[in-house]
Amino acid sequence: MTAMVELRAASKAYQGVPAVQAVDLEVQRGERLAIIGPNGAGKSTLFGMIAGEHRPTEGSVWFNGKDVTTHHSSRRARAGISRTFQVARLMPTMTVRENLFLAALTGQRQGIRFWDALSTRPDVTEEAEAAMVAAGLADLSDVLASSLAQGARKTLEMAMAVVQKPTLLLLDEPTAGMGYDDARIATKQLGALLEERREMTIILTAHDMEVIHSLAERVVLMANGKVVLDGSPQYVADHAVTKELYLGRGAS
Amino acid sequence: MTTIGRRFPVVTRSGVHVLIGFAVVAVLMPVFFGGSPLFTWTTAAVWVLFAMSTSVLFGWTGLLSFGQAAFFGIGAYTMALIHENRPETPGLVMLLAAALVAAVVAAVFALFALRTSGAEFAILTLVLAQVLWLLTYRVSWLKGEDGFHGLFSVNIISNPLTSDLDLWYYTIAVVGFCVWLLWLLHRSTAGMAMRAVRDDPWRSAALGINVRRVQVCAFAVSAALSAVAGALLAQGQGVVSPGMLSFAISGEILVACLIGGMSRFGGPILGAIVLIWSQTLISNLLHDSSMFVGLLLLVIVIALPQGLVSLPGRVRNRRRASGPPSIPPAPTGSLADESVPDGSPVSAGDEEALR
Ligand SMILES: Nc1ncnc2c1ncn2[C@@H]1O[C@H](COP(=O)(O)OP(=O)(O)O)[C@@H](O)[C@H]1O
Ligand SMILES: [Mg+2]
Repeated sequence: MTAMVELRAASKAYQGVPAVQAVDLEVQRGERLAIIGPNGAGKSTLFGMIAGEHRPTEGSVWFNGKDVTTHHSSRRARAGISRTFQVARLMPTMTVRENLFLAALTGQRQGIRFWDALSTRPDVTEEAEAAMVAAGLADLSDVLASSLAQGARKTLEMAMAVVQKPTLLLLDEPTAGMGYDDARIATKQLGALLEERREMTIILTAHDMEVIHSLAERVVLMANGKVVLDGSPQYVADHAVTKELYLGRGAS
Repeated sequence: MTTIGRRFPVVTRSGVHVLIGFAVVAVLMPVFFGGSPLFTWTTAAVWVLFAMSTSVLFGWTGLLSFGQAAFFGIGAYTMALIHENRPETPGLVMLLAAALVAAVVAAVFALFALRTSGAEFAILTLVLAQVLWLLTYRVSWLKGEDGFHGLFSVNIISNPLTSDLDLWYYTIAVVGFCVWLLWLLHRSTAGMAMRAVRDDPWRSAALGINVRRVQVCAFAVSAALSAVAGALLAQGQGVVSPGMLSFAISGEILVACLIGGMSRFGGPILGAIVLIWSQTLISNLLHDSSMFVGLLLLVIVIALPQGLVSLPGRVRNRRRASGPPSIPPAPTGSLADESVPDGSPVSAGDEEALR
């Protein structure tokens, strides 16, 4: 069986400065992969190459057995890739509810039409409402996204990604910017989601070892734009290289 | 409800109210105003359509065009050329033709111009309008400075328009219909996609929206309705000249949008009416009203950055007097400036990613 996602010697340089260097990576359907590594390791850039925001300077990206290297991000999104950003990106002039409508709509084939009013798509609006309640955002439904607190922004963005019903979900530091308690709750919710949506392939990046232990089945350690380790959470966590990278810097 | 009713949900309560309000205005206007003031109202109605169509691009989709007069002019010249060759053509057919020509020109232009971004795009629209303006002088059958005259006696369907009153009914009906179409677009799922593209094109792409397609469609719709406005004006005033393609017109229509504000659907309607009436009233007193219009804009931009439509909300907030009024972010076409703690630029993506 072909892998769902495949990077073949993918590299990305920003103005000649390498951020990701010749990474080979295969992710199977249904896998739960965590990518860890210190800041600047290239995790977000790797996500950008998979989702299509960044075109690799060398190498290729494959999705479901197809070379998608030249496909732009909107095409890849329509092919079933949804993502969140390290710093949540929402539609600032839309309310929480509208952001979710938009996501539910764009998650559908033929979701956007000139002749369809939103009120004629109860299927979409109901889905969005349900997602809003499930994410605990019902109280904030009419609040503009631009005035949400950091934690709520992350929660909303994740709910948007999920309501799109992707086959591949990319979560870039899902608990970044949250307080300790919020992060705990978010991790728990994420765990429940992962259980519920077994068919969904999920790649996430994180710093927090606890998050990784509770969510991931496989862990990839990146440093300086390269894959250093690839294995079970236990294997990677216990490895001397990991300890050196993390403990050496005093990070969690 | 019928399928049509579900697809075009206009038979809502507020929809009926708006329809009744519109009908009352259309019928009563001639009762209170006659002669020259009625003609000013007719002109204002045309500018309402022009401002609304500009707002589709500028306010809804976040694309700034400095050359919206290009499509206004294309509409007017299309109408004039049809009139010259086949004067018996029904007026509504001329409007339709104007819309089609402008939409095609706009779509082709946008496919190329949108490869650039932001400021460059705005400049290209300006270049388009200037090139068309030059063409009217260089191409003999466009008649240069003289332009076209005597375009009156347009048949609506079969009867000619013979009075200011007829012209008012004809104009307000066409404008009303077009604004209704825009309202449907505004509340459609495509309208939502346009807002998303305005808010954050990169994020929209990541959600799966074909940003380029949304922008091209918005451009074509905007151009088509601007052309209808141009053709309507030509039919009403009987004159088409290069002035309709001038930068002054492109600027004025942006001013109308800014005066009214684009955070609400009705903003540009208000803006166009205020602009046309203040121009008319002032030019009765002074020779040149442009100074005044400039001042008006300045005052509004400073006192009411969200335009006149935001006035009621402002007043209500002031009444409540509970702290400073909350101002929603301005959808002025600029991208949202989010601060990014980790220092990476917001539009962290490659140029080609949107293509
Ligand atoms: N948009 C960008 N422009 C220039 N350099 C960037 C950009 N994004 C990331 N980088 C650089 O690329 C490297 C990898 O960054 P990133 O992928 O964000 O790492 P991580 O997500 O692991 O912290 C860093 O050195 C960073 O400074
Ligand atoms: Mg990162």
